[in-house]
Amino acid sequence: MASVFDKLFENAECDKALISIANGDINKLEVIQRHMEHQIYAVAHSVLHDFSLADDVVQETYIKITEKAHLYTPGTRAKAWVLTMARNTALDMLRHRSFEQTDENVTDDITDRFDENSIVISMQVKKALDSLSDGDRQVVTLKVYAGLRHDEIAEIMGISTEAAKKKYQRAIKKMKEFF
Amino acid sequence: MSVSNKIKYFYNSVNVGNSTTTTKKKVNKTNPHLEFTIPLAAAITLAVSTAIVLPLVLSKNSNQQA
Repeated sequence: MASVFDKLFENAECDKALISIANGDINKLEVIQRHMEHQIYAVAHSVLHDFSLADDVVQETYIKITEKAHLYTPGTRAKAWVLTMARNTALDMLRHRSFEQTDENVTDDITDRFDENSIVISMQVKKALDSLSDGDRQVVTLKVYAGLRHDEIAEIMGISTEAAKKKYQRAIKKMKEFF
Repeated sequence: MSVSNKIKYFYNSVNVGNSTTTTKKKVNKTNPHLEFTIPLAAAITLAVSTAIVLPLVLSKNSNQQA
């Protein structure tokens, strides 16, 4: 489990990376990828409910980071900034989905995404996450997996800190019914 | 395993795919009407230009001959 120190270190690394990217060093995107790829993916999946679309959001988020890193205020919440971008990208995709063609040979099966050893637990967790409302699912993902505080989650989602706490508690309580 | 740890396990275990090789493709179809409209507009513009310019040229030529 990530300690407080790990979280601070991760935030500091991402902060430095964003500053470098803003100054033109695109190679530093690798730092963001290394620390945050799964978190970006998790946030995207919590919004979109779809593994494949979440892949797309990850790639689009990296592009947006390179385009908008100059808007990041150094020394602030780097992780929250990146995850806000990921969430907004996912929400945009949800709103403006313009799929005109689907590849019939591609499936979004959970068995394609997890190896044998993790499939049973993963299917349980997916079912539990799917039972939550969109807002509750996003809050629990941001809290548990991204390790954000309730006030940070509240800012990202445009809700009060109290509402974020209640959503989290409700989500965890509901998910326990599946385990 | 607690609920929190199971969530972490889930997202740690998922294989994040490369969007260039997977899934539904967003196809930006051109507006099919434009494929017809642009050449038609060009043809009309040419016809109108010719209708305006040609008489002027012919008139100038006939004045010169006179």
